[in-house]
Amino acid sequence: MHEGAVCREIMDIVTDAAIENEIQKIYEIVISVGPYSCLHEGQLNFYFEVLRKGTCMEEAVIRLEQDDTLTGTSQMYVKTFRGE
Amino acid sequence: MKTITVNKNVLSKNDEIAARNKSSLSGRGIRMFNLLGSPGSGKTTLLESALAHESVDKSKIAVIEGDLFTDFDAKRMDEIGIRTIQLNTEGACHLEADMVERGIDELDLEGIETLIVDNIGNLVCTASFSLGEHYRIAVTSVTEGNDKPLKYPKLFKTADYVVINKIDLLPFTNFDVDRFTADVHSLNPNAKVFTCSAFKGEGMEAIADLFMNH
Repeated sequence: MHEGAVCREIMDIVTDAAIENEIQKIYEIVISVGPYSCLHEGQLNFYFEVLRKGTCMEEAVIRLEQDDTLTGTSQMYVKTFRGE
Repeated sequence: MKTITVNKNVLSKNDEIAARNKSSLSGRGIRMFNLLGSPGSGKTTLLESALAHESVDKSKIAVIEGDLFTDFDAKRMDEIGIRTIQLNTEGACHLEADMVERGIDELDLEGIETLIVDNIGNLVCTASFSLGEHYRIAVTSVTEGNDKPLKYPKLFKTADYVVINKIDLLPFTNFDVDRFTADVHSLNPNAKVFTCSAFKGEGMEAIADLFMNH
């Protein structure tokens, strides 16, 4: 259920980086997740589909990439995004 | 089409505020505990029982209560004479560092040495959000069953202390304290495990001592 909060943070981070890099439209966001990220891909996408409406991410997908080197409390990183 | 590399912690905003909370409390000589566990594990009863112990100086302890909607728990702390503030998440399943920061700002922390956050009852979401605590306590009870450490590993991996509550009910369950403790230590060899009954008072001296003399 915390995926709503996580989704909001992902979108804030990507929005800032998109403005900085003059990207107007985003197609894909890649999130690195550790073994105990406790992030559910289906739930994250559910929130994303609701929250992305009317933003530069309207047509984007979020992809999770497993990274077992991530440890500790926070095991989710916005790795890359693709856009133009 | 461009690919932008970001490599930014998704919870960096939360973690920055948490770091700020921790350093501001450390600077005032205050240690913060984050109390995590499922609804009904007895987190608030544990506080009531431990903080009412004769060895506890109530003037040195404050509690931030987290709940979705009610102020039931803050009232319980008020009744035993503990300085407290209630945070309501309006339905959200965990506290975040910025809410606790506001709680810290609103509380009168004069003379306080121990600040305890009684988090929302939840074994999953709460474990992912640092509040800036110095110590994390996982509270579980014998009626919840043996399998919880392995089913909810993040909570038990990140806890400094694990409290097994409702030990008075042990004869009525199939809970195995040794097995549970071994599972906790397989995830987190440094976690210190306590057993107690907050309701009956058994084992509460050690918990009171933890809050007073950490």
